[in-house]
Amino acid sequence: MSEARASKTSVTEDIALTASGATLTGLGDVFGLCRSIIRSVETVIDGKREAVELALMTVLAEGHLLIEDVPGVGKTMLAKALARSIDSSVNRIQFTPDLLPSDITGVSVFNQVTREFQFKPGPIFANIVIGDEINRASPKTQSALLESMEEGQVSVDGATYPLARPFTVVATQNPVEMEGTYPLPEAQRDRFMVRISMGYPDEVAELTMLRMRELTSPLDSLSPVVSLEQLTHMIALVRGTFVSESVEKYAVSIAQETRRDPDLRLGASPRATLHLVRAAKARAVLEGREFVLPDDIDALAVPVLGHRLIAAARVAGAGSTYQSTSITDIIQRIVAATPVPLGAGDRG
Amino acid sequence: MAEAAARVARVRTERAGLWGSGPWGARHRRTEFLRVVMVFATFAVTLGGLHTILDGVGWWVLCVTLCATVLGTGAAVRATFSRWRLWGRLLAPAVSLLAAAILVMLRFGAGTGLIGIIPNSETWVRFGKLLRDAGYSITWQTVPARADEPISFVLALGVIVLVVAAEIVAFSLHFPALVGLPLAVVFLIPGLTPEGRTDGWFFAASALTYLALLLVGRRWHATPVLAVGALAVVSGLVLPGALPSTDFTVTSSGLGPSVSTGVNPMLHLGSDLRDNIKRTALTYSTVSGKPEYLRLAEISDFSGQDWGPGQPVLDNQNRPVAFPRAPGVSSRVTTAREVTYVHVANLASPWLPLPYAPSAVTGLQGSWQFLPESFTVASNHDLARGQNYTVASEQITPTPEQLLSTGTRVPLGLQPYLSLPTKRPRVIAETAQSVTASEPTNYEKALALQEYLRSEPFHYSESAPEAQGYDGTGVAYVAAFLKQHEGYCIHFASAMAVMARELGIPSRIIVGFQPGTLQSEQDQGRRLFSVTTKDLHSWPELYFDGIGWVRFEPTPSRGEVPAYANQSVTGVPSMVAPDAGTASPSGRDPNAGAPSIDDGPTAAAWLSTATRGGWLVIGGGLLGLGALIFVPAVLRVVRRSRRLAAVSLGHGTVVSLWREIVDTAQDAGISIGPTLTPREARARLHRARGMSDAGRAALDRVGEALEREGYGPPRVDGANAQALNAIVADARVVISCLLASTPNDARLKAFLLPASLVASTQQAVRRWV
Repeated sequence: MSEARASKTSVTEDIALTASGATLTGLGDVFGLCRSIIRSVETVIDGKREAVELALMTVLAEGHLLIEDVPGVGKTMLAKALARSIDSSVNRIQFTPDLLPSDITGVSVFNQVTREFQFKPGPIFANIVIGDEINRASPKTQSALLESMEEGQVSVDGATYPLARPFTVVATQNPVEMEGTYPLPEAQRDRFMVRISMGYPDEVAELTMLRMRELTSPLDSLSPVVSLEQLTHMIALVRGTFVSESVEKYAVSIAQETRRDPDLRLGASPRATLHLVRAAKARAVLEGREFVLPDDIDALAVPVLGHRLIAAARVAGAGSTYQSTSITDIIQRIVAATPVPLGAGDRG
Repeated sequence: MAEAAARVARVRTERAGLWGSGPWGARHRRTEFLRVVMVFATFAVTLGGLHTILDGVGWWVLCVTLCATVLGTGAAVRATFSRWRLWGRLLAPAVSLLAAAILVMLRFGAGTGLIGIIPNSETWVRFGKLLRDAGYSITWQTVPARADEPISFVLALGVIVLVVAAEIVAFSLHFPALVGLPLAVVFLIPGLTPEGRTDGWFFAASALTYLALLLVGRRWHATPVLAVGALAVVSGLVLPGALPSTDFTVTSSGLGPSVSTGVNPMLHLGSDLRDNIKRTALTYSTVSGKPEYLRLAEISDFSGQDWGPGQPVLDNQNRPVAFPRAPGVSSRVTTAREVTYVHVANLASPWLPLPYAPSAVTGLQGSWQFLPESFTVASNHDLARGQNYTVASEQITPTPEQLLSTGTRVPLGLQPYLSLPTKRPRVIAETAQSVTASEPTNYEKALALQEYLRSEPFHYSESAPEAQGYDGTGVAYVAAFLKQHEGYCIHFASAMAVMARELGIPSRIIVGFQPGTLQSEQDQGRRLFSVTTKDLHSWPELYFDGIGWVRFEPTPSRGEVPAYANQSVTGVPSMVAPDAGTASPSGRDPNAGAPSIDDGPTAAAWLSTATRGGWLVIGGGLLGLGALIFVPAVLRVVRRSRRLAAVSLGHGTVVSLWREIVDTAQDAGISIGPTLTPREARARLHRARGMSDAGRAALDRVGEALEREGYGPPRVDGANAQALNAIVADARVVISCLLASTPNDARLKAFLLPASLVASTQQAVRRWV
């Protein structure tokens, strides 16, 4: 309890530090802000440091996050906490089987005064869009997200409307084996940069959660830690993080191996390689480094590639297309078997 | 997604081997064509190396034609079955074999068989005869042998087996590297042939073509390939000389070390005499208790470069149970009857050691025939090894008077024993004339020649002819010997025989054994003599009308001068060596200064020199071997020094420092695989047994520097020399900690055979092969 309080005090200090909106100058500032965001989210989601870091990395790398797990483990809470920690526009869409594409993108309505159609933006128009239980909507509605996630724009009635920048979709979904779910199409899965799984909290974390939420929701006391302007600056800095040719080659080697591996029916797409390197940049910044290491690639291989690969039938088992455990094993095996280049001039 | 799936399907299809018309298929076909060409070239070159044991080029053309047939047919079959590759692989060797068999049938079975290509009983009879004759031919021919029909037949069969084997491993099983096995068989043949030698240039060339075969269809780096090529050339030139001789082999026959005279004992004589190790060739005893010369073969053809007995034409009628009277021996010549009991040890000779002139040989096993002119006994099928036999002989002991009475008469029919090459150095005739100018009879001329050769300045030397390049047979070598005055029995015997012919005296050279040494006074009531390889000898026999063939002994310090030629014996004319102007150093009795049948002082001196030289060679060899053991350790130390020094001097990078650390860890038994990131490797090294806190800190600094250099942005200001030196110092600390981590029981191995060196060698080999 005392730990939680101390954490809260620290968060308040961080907020005080950054509320002035001082211009960020370098890696040290960004590193500090990242730590602040993580601590802020951890006041709500305790004991899930890895999931929180991966979520933040996704935002910093301008990717989209897919949180997958059974109901009640804090998926939506993580999405909300992350959104609230950043002073940005946040919308939440609850995906249901009867949700229509226009419920997401917006709709053109006829204005009686001006006598012309006027576009009424949907909930997709926000910096952070929380798509709750995304796999409960029909594939048609899910597909409405495709264009917006990849291109950052929405086309309605022939007109194209750009989305806010930065733009991140944080979607949650129940495992596909659950009742009343529609598996996400491969194309859409490929558009999510990272997939994380929350997992059940340990005993201490669960006990702490019980006591904290007895009286009030911890989300209510959560204030933004960074401004939108600061987030934009952080994203730019992540984008400029140096990636050496050898690390790029290493990422490509892993991707190539997934395409050759006989246990996989579908290997990693070039977009997956791109996402892997981008996420690795964010991880490097999150660790206070100005360049990417092969270790970043190793650490992110499963979260970035796991939801995109399809195991061969003999590995996955009859009738199933989605066995994350075996996919994780396969990716870890591939990573463990791929030689790591030692840098410039290394011949392997 | 459909596109990705299609790509996956296409890759899988290609992997499954259903290649056909795509660019991949075209590349594969080109690679296979090149591989066929290289296998052919490698065989053609390697077979060319057999020129050291086979004469002419006809056999090579035959072999190459067979290679082309087998490989070409195989390639054609595989191309025809390109869509059913498994069938192609299975059928290609069978069809190749069939094509080669047809070629063999056309070449060796012509005129037999159905429609010329299907063998019938007549064909098999012919082939059987060819195989049997090949055995005779190989036994009797000297090296380089004439590739006659039987030898060509056996060669063709061998080549077919080897090339079909190569076809199977290279194309059916896809292990082109294994082509080296049949090639090794070809390469070993000259080495296994007595007197055969391996041609280093051909070995180097075949090694290079084999290397090229391995590189077909692979990416290669120039430096290692050049290194291997250079190694192949160097080993090709050095190895054949370094390989041990196969002439003498310890056999398991229980007869002791093998002594091989081969087909031509002349060729072995020099090397046998120079060999420091005595091997018992045979033991014998005589009824009279006197030692005697034992003859093996006769050389009467003095034309050409390689004098030898040639392949004898044996007649089954001439069984050695009863000999006719020795040629030219009249009834007035005094003879002494002798019975000799011979036990041959491990003497691999197709010639039988016999005293002269044999009248009957009993107790022989196998098929032996005598030659009526030379009175030598030989076999086409058997060797003298292990024979126990008894020889009855009539020893010809003419008196000086009888020999003097023959004058200069030479009966007709002895022309072959007088012929000499038309082109021969004049010095032979001039010397013969000057030595015998004042001698009226053939006997006195012969005595003068013997005395001349036994006197100063002639010396017995087994090494001088070889050292000065006239260790051979032929009139040119005789001339060289007459000028150099140094040689061993072959030179003395050849000189006397050739000079005798110059003077019109029929002569021949005999190769055999001098009497040997007394082994036991009482062996079943008789004196037993032992004959060794050191007793191999040659001597001339001269023909005198009415007396026949008479032995002389022109070699000083060897053998025993017969009584009729010994000037200390009453009645034998006295001779003075004209060149020296004085008597022989051994006085008028040539036997007085020579220890009769044992090694003379000169030979003893040579032996002691050779022994000293032998010890030097053995010592040097052991030292060399000892030095070889340290080669990996030295290479490892050099590699470490170079890496560290290069970074200090600004040439190297932190990556090479890191490699050195990883290699040292590997030497210490800590495996750091190439799939570990530097951080993971650091974590593993932190746990090393000998790692101190300072070592861990130094390791972290090196690791961070490696990450900055290897994965960080390039430095604008370049490398800081001071910082680099600090990193090198850190690396040294880490290396010393890792060396201390080596378990005590593995330190010697880590030093003498560093695991990192072994691994990098294996990696390099895998990359090339």
